[in-house]
Amino acid sequence: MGNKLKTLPLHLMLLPGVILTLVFSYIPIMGIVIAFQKFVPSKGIFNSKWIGFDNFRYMLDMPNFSSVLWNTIFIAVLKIVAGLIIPIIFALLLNEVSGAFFKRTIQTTIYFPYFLSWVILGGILIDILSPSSGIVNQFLGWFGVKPVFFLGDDKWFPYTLVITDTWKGFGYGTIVYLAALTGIDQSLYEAATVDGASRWKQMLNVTLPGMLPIITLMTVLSLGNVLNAGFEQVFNLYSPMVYSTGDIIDTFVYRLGLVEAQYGVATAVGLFKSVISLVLIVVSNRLANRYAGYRIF
Amino acid sequence: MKTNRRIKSMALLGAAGMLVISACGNGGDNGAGTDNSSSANAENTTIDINAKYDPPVDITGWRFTESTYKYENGDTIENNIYTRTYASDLGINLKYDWTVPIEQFDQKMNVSIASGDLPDIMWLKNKQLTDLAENDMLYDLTDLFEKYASPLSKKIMLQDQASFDTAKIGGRLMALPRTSSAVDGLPILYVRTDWLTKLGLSEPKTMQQAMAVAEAFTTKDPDGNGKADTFGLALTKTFLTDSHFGTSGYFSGFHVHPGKWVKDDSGQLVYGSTQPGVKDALKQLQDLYAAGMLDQEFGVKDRAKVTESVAAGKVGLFYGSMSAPLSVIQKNVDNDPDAEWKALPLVSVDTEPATPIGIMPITTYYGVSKDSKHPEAIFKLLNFGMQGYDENAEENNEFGISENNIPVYLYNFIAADPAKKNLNAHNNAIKALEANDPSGLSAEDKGYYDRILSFRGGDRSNWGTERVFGTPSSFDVIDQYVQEDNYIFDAFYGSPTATMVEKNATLQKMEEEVFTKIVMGQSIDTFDKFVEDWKKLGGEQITKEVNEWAAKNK
Repeated sequence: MGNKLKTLPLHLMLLPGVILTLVFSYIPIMGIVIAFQKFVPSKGIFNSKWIGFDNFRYMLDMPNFSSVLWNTIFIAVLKIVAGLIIPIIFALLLNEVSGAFFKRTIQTTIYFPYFLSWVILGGILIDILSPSSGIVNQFLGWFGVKPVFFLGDDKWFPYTLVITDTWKGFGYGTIVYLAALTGIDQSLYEAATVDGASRWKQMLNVTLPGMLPIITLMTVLSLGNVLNAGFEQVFNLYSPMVYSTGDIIDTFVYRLGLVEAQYGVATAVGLFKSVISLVLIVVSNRLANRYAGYRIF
Repeated sequence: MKTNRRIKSMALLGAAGMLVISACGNGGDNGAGTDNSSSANAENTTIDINAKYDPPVDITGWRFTESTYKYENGDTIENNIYTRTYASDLGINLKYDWTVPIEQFDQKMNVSIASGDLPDIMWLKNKQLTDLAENDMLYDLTDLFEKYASPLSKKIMLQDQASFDTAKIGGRLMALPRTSSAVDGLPILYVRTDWLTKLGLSEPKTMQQAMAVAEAFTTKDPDGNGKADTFGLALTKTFLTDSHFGTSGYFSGFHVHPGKWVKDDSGQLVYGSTQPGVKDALKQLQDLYAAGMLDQEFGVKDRAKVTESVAAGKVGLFYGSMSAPLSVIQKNVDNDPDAEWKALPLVSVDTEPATPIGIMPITTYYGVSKDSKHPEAIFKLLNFGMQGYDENAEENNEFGISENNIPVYLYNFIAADPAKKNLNAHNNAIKALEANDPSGLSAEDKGYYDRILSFRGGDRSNWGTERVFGTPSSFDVIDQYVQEDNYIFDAFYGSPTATMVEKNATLQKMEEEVFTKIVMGQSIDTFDKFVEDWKKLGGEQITKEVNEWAAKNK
């Protein structure tokens, strides 16, 4: 009883989040029925004609769809991998740095791009990635590399997306891992030192295992996002030149649903995406449980 | 134990976040308007069309705004001289359900329509107008127009009957069209004349001369800074559809019209992007690109980015619409005291003149919800808005451009312009300037007159107004098109056909992709494959439907 009273404030703090989730994520789920209808706005959800899986068949028949699906998976998987590894490496390196001021400065600097919107970054990236005048290509030029048209070359475009996205977000991930590092029991390091472990061995045998739960958690959570290749980023950076490798499900749904007003098909594509995401997160949770003894639900 | 709980709650939020689905709309009440008695009991007694509502009524609406709108004295789009006058003079309390920047309008409108929550009066585009009308959600305005529109409103709206009729569906008037000037949208060639003088070139009269100018601007260092940092012709990444830095005017020089529907020799409508001449035009663009006469990075640049290039004095030639001096050149003139541009008529590759193509001038329609309790209110707003066009109207700046140069007329909820309004403004301003007598000018025209005088007095910040409404100016060129009767319109202006709705997203994407890649160096033969694919992937069916529409609308 006393325990319950003590945790009540904590539960209340959760309330706004739960309400937001209900209102913006659970209630709109009812809209899914549109995917199975020939949706006519004036008739509404209750009176529109039921057409079963026709919207899905139409979606799969579209000549674009397979390439869009492939682009989405390719970009998202690369983003997940880079978005997991880079922050871990950075956190480990930062953890070895002793000067607190230096450490904080680095932390803040790399965190900064996280706060900029893609609309702003889009304009900046066009300038700094420009093959003729951009700073990146000038830098590459010193090493004799020919200028690369990062945003206009369909071979490079997906990688540009991955690198810029990782650059924007890795400061945030680094902070999460640094927090996990502070939770590791210091006596383990002392014991390791006594046993004669070098810093490298300490990192392998104490630090990494200590971080494993949070790494697993982040991986499982991010796998649910495997089909979210980042609408805002792609929308602000892509152009007709890179449609073949840059068009993803979300930009496709945007054009289909909000520009062309094909509500039914757009919902079908969105639902398709969500179902795959759900399957992936359940599977990855199982695997995490089996191989790492870790589960989130 | 504690960590476990924290992790669980995080997981819950994470999982919920993924389930966001791109569907909205709860279709709540879609009241299939059973009660439309308000129109049924229209008596035959004469109606006072100017009567004020007493007690006042609430009218809901939605609209877009543009980033160029400015406000003063704490005004907002919800509360300004127009809304206040609607309330005081007409007894109409206008309440916006929402207003959004124009860029977001399509999305917001589609979402609102999907949710079935319509205001009394809504701004619509052609597609949404047709959708709503076909689903019986709009009030039929045919009879009300006869009864409530003032003679002046009728006169202005019917000046261009073909445009007005685009608001009719099945012969019934389902919305009021926002009539405006069709010729305003015709493309014009802009060239930097101070560079021409510097390099000893004359104004281009043919496509070949224009390309020679582009080459000289690229290779002969017209800005004299010793660096090869200028280029000839400016394009955006959406050059096929852009009105500034687009290619509609360029393609006209080859007598083809991509993206528009045109009549072929047999009188059938064909899609302009598949005309054979397009290949030659693309080939030349490809050559220009290879020779460095186009910005090597135009493919990623939007209009704002290209405008930066113009402002920085990197470019001296582009195709734009009549507003270019005000919207995209003025900054260059501000930055560089020597910069001078001129608007020229389109140039052609052969002896046949280039014919500019425009689109039907109506992009906005005003629809009335079937459930509206006061469907006639829209006409009171319309009549009010049209008063300024009365020849006997007193000069009254309050509703036009304010003392501080703020265009308050943009706040007007229901607007319509006479068919050659801006061209007439140009001609009136010129006449007044020659006679040195502004007394006969309307309030709006007087504003242009004053700013042109201020430019001639040495104020470069009004350069744009002189180059649009003064002389030489973009309207000089438009006037020439009109005098020579040398312009055409997109021959298809109906709402999207069934197959267009289904396939256009795919076809347009393919067209943009193929054309852009050809310009940037892909084999020109890709064009032939594009034409084939276009037909196969729905274009043939669309052509059939468009011709059926044309047969019906003859």
